[in-house]
Formats: sequence, structure tokens, C-alpha cells
Amino acid sequence: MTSVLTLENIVKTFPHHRRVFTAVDDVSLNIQEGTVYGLVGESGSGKSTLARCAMQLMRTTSGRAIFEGQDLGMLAPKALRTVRSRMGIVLQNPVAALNPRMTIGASVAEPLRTHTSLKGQPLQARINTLLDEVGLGAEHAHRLPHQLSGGQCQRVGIARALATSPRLLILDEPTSALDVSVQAQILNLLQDLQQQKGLTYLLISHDLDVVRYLSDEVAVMKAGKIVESGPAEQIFANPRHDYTRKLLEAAPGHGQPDIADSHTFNTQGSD
Amino acid sequence: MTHVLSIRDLNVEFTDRGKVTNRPVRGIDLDVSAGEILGLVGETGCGKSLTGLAALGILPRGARRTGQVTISNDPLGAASEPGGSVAIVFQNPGTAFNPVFTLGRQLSDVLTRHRQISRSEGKAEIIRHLTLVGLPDPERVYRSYPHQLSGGMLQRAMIAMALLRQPRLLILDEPTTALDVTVARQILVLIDELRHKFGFGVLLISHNLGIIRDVCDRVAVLYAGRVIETGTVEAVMNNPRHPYTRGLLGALPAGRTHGQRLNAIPGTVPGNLLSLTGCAFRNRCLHAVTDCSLTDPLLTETGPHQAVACLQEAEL
Repeated sequence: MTSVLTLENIVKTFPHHRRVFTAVDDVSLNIQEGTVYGLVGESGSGKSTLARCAMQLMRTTSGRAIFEGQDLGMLAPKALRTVRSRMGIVLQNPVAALNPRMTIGASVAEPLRTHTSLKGQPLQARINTLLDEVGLGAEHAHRLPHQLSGGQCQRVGIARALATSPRLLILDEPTSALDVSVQAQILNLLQDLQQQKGLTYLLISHDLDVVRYLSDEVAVMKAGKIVESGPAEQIFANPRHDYTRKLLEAAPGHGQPDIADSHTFNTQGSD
Repeated sequence: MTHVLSIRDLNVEFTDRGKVTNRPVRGIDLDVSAGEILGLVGETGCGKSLTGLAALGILPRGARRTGQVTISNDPLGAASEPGGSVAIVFQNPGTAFNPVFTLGRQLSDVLTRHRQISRSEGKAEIIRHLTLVGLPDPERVYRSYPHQLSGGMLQRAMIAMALLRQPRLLILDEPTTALDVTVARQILVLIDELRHKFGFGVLLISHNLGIIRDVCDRVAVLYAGRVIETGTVEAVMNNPRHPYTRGLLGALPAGRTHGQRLNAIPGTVPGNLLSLTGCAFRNRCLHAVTDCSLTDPLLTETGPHQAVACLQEAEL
């Protein structure tokens, strides 16, 4: 198997009150072609920052992001844009991610105009194909985001990410803003697309059930570091790190909360 | 057991210039006993939050309530005056507080407004409540502005604020949706602990079936402004009888392996319910028959702890 994305010792720091805040602290990972790599952790653990570093939407402080054998940090802006057309990103809040004044068709056309020379009828045909692939009809092309449901907006987000036929999709909390019934529709769609097109996913989520369901490999992040990684079933069935265990126990639907637990936070106030 | 909340035939209508434009809540009956947690679950747009707001008498402008709401034996008047011994905790603690006042100031407003305790006398009471909800260093929290605290700490402060009213009924509207799983778990543990300690009843509104399963005693599943299934959590979660409840549970990825398709419920919740006839779920239902478009089924008991509103229930 060939690897699509390799991250080597990625560090990303931000200035913070005259000090340095390390959001991503020496993270390395390797994503194989046609697999789903799940990244879990709480808010502030550095998941989304890592994804932005992987796409070079943000310059890394140190370390290398290698996509299809090319070190993204070494590329000139124009070359980087070309390489980026082979990566797509789907964001958490599907309604906020779309321009409220642009029709759905225009939103889907945007990446095509930037990265391809398609115009007129072929462009229109491509838009309709993309909408069809994500389960929307050509009639949706003339609508505005507020006329669509959250689930439909997320389908548009996926169509936009797929527009340039990428190999890698970064899914940043793709279903967190959706109801369970709609979440199931989107998860089915993502799984179908992955199988049909042989796509590779980097899936970021705080929802352990979603990550377990979709992922082949999983990494658990805490305070900028990966504390545990490995095959998904192994991590979920037999977590080795204390933090992973704590996350799994806290997930809703895994039993009654233990009253005895509550005294530990009364004194420590860990949140 | 005494009911701290009784709702009978609750309807919420939106009106525009005297004309009814939508009826998102259509005849809901609910009871919450003292010390009990009742979960209210359903998709966005099913009327969960409106039911909670109607119970408090704080519906948005243009909305009108009919039907009976009784909170610890005091009937809530038709005029929308917030009921006496009821408090609410909202979803997003970051936006529910006023950013320009300290938490101490905002919490003491509750005491002056509802318990006629002055600001200077109230401080000890507030500190006591902040300690009660597990906040470390309550003195510092008292002096803090909302942006200086984490989401989990703010949600605790919000619960303290609710407790200051000495409620018989606490309404929680998606209390943990904006929080991380570990923090969410701590908040749920806290709520469980407090209701045992003070004996208030809880109406917990959530779209998360996992949370409902973990902390609720009973559950009511809402669809299109109506209770379509209700009962004890064990009965409803282990043996769901309504196709909608089954759909919600089947849509969860938990326990599914890779490659297995999830049973998504096709379609969406109907937006306007005014001209609806028959069962509201029939267009999304795999078991619908001709009768479903003619008769709107009533809640019927199917067991000692369960009631379902579905014509085809016996056939499923």
C-alpha cells in the first residue's frame, strides 16, 4: 500500500500572552491510500490545527507534511495550489461554510473555476454530476443555503470538496451539527463515496462512535500530542492509555454515570 | 408520587395578524414526578424546546399556548408569567450569560428578583450554591466574567443559578450538547446527584439517545409536536414499538461495524403541521398503510410501562 499523507514531527505554536502556546506538539502519522484515519480528542487538543497544517492552510512551525511524495512546505504558492486541488476539506457547520448569497450551483462551481478550465455547458454538466453524486438534484443548484436543511447543506459541502476529484478528504467534524437520523444519511454517503472512488479520509471527530464506525486507523490526541494510535478495533476494544479509557467511559450510551465519580471532580474541578 | 409537572393537551400555535400560521406542538400530555428525570427526545423541529419553554411560560413572540400546565400544583396562568418553582438551563452556557456583568452580579439578580434577598446578604447563599455544583474556588468564580471560565464551569454556574430559585422542577434544554464528552459526563453526574439530594423533578431535552439512556428514568419520544412513544427508559430503549423510535435507534453508529450501512430515516420532519391529516410520520415510515393517512393514532398502552401511537404497532 502507498501512503497518501505523511506527517513528520509536526509542531505548530502560537504566540499567547507573550509566551508560546504549542497547539500541535511533535505529531507524526501516516495515512495509507484508500483507508480512513480517525483523529479523536476533546476541543483544544489540536485536531483541527493539525488538519490545517496537513493541508498547509497554515504554515507549520516545524516538521514536514508530505502529500503524494511532495513536501508541501517546500512548494511555491502556485505549485501548492495545484497540489491542494487533490485534497478536499469538509467543515463542521455546513450552513456557515456556505456563502449565504451564493446559489448552491455557484458554490459548487467555485472550486471548479479555481482549479479547472471548465466553462459553460461542460461546467454545468459537472455541477449536476457532483450534486447527483451527493444525493441532490439539479433543481437544488438554483437554491440558496437557507432554503436547504442542515443535512442538505452538508451534502453541498461534500460536493464542493469532491469537485476537483481529490484523493484525500479531510472531514472536520462532518456530522457534529446534525441530528442522528441525518447523521446516518451523511455517514452512509461518505462510506459509499469512499468505496466507489477509493478515497482516503482523515476524519476528525469528538464522537467516538462515529470514528469507530468509519475508521481503519485511529489516533487519540490530547494537549497537542498523540497519546495512542493503532488499528481502530484494537484501540476501542483494548485501550492502553488512561486518557483513551477515560474518553471511552465518558461517551454517552455507555452506562449509568457513577455517582462515586463525582467526588473526584468536586475537589479537583478538572474542567 | 407527587407530580411536579403536569401537562395536559398542550398546544403551541404561531400566529400572524390573528391567523394561525403553524402549530408545532399538537396536544402533548406529560408528567414529571418529584425526583424523577423525564427525557424528551426527537429530531430538530419536533417541538422539544417549545414544550420546555411553554412549561415555563416563556414562549417566543407570536407563539400562543393552549392547554393546561401545572407546576407543583400551581396552574400556570394563560398570561406568560414564568412559573414560581421552575428553572431552566440552556444549551450554550457561553451565550446564556451576559458577557458584561460578573457571575456574582448575575446570580444575585435571581435572589433579588425571586427571593427578595438583597445583594449583600445574598453573597453567602451564592457561594454556597457555587460550591454545591462542584466549582473549585467559588470566590473567584463569583468575581469572574463569563469569558474567564470554561464551558463546563459556566454550565455548572448556570445550574447553580437555577438552584438558587429552589426549583421543584428543573428544565434542561440540551445541557451538554456544547460540551466535550468528559465534561458532559461530569455535568450529567452532577444533575443526577442534585436531584437525589433536593428531590426536584427534571425535564431533560436532548437529541442524544445515549444521554437519555444513561440518566433518564422515563422517556417521551416527540415527533411533529406530539408524543409518539413513552415509557420507562428500559422499555422504550430495549423494546421500541414505534417505527420512528426504532429509526432513531437504528441510525446510531454505535455497535455497527465498518461497511455495514446505517438505517437512516429517509426524508425530513414536516415543517408546517397545520394542514396535516393522519399520522405525521407516514411519509417516512416503511410500515405505512392506507389507514395511516386517514387516522391520527392515539397513544395506546402496549405494556405496563409503555404507550405507543401507531396503527400498525401490533403488526410490527
